[in-house]
Amino acid sequence: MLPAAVVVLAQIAAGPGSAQAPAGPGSADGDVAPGLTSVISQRRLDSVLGREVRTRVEEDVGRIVDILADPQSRVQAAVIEFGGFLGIGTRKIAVDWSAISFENDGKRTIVIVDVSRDQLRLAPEYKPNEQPMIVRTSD
Amino acid sequence: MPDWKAQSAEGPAEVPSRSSKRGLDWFAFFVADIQTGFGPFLSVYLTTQKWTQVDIGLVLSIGSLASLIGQVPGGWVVDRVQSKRRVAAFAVLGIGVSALLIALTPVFATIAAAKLLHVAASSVLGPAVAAITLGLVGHAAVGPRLGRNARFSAAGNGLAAGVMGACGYFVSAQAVFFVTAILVLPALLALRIIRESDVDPIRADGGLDATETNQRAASLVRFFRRPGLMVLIACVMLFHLANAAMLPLVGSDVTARTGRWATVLVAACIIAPQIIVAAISPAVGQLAQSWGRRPVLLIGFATLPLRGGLLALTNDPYMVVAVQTLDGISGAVMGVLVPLALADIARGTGRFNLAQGIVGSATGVGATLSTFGAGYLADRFGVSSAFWGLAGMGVLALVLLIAMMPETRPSNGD
Repeated sequence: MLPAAVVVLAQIAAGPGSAQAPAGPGSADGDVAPGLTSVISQRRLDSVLGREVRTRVEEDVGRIVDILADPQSRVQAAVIEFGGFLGIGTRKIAVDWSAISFENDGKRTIVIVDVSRDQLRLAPEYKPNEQPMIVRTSD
Repeated sequence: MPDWKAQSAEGPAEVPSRSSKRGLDWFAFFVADIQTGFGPFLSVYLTTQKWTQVDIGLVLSIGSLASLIGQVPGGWVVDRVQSKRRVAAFAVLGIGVSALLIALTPVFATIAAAKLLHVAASSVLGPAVAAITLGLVGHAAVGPRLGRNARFSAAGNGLAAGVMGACGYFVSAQAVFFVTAILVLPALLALRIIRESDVDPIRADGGLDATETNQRAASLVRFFRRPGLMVLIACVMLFHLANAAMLPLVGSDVTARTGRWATVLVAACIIAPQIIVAAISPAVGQLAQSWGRRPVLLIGFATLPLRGGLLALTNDPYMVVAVQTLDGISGAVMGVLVPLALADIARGTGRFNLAQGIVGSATGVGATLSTFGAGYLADRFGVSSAFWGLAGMGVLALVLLIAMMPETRPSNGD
């Protein structure tokens, strides 16, 4: 019952040297299942859950609270909590994953969600036990 | 000569020292402050700590369930303990420790423990504040004094909501819990200023007074048969059944309608009623003394269905904020009159704080059902149907109050 971060690998120091770090034993001398190897990712990966997101135009601010995947394990949407004050009056909305982009402003990575205010306004509240209505990109 | 002695025995009872009164003012203020972060904000904080929705829901449910169960024994403990100040001090410390645990180790086990610690502390702290008040000023003067408490408490609530909301927005969600832990210190300081000798422990329980000497009055069965007690409990439960879901519903509706300004408007919906409460509570306490409890309770209960109906009819977010200020009227009435009527009913029984615990649990049951019921109505039939449903519950509470609730003010004016 520990808080589960969806992606915790933020391997920033993935320099060329560290890329060849010995992967776990591939043969029979360990507990690791055969064929399963661990590698340090060379790509920069960022944690997603709990991240602050902004809309592109009107700058509504929200936070990613859940990730939705289809039966083929492809990530389809993020559940974003918008609005409220001190946690009162927030609204959860499921937004299509393709509407979400990570943009670097030089200092840090900002998560941008490319939907309009009207879409957010009209979007039905996300309910965990129902088939979600997913908001897609404005254009 | 004998007068002097009689006065010194009676003196601190009738006229508590200035410093004790000041202490109580600021204790009410800071107790309200340190409670702010533990509300729905906790789930915002846990989200920033990468908790899943399932875990957040689970830990919050554990907390609400414990709170429903814990308040009755909490009140009972406050009745039993001799020093109400000491029990209040332990409770405030417990809340401080809970805030630090939450800020420093956001893993499931410690957050669950911190939540339970907070619930246990709150279940004695609420009754303890009212018990100190009653022990300090005595039954005859408790109405206006509860009004003053409610003023300071609302000021604390409003200010803390503003400061902690801003802190969470501009600094970090974690910082809110550090601020909470720091505010424990002035709360304890205020409590220290209240003189132990000024708080009569027997009066603080609504203890046996000269007119009612038999122990039979203290028996539990007899206590529950006291006129007005069950009605008041039922009315309070119905009130919160109608009330609790209104603000969250207003908040998400405003969020849906206004986008960028949503945060400011929702903040206004929370803070504006507190300003009204701070403004009118002392007058509410005075009126309860001069008019009696029933008419003032009626005003408070009547405001609730009015607010529900107006919210159902209003679409404009700014009008919603205006309607929300009505919450200040019912808030002030509940804040002053519920402990006051309980003090009336429990007079001479020594069970004032148990009664507060029971009413606290009734509040919790009403609030929980309110959230479920309004959520269901909003999903199925839309937000305005949910407001109509809540208004209906408010009418029910009002009708029950009119039909069944007796006047509890002592007839001789004391």
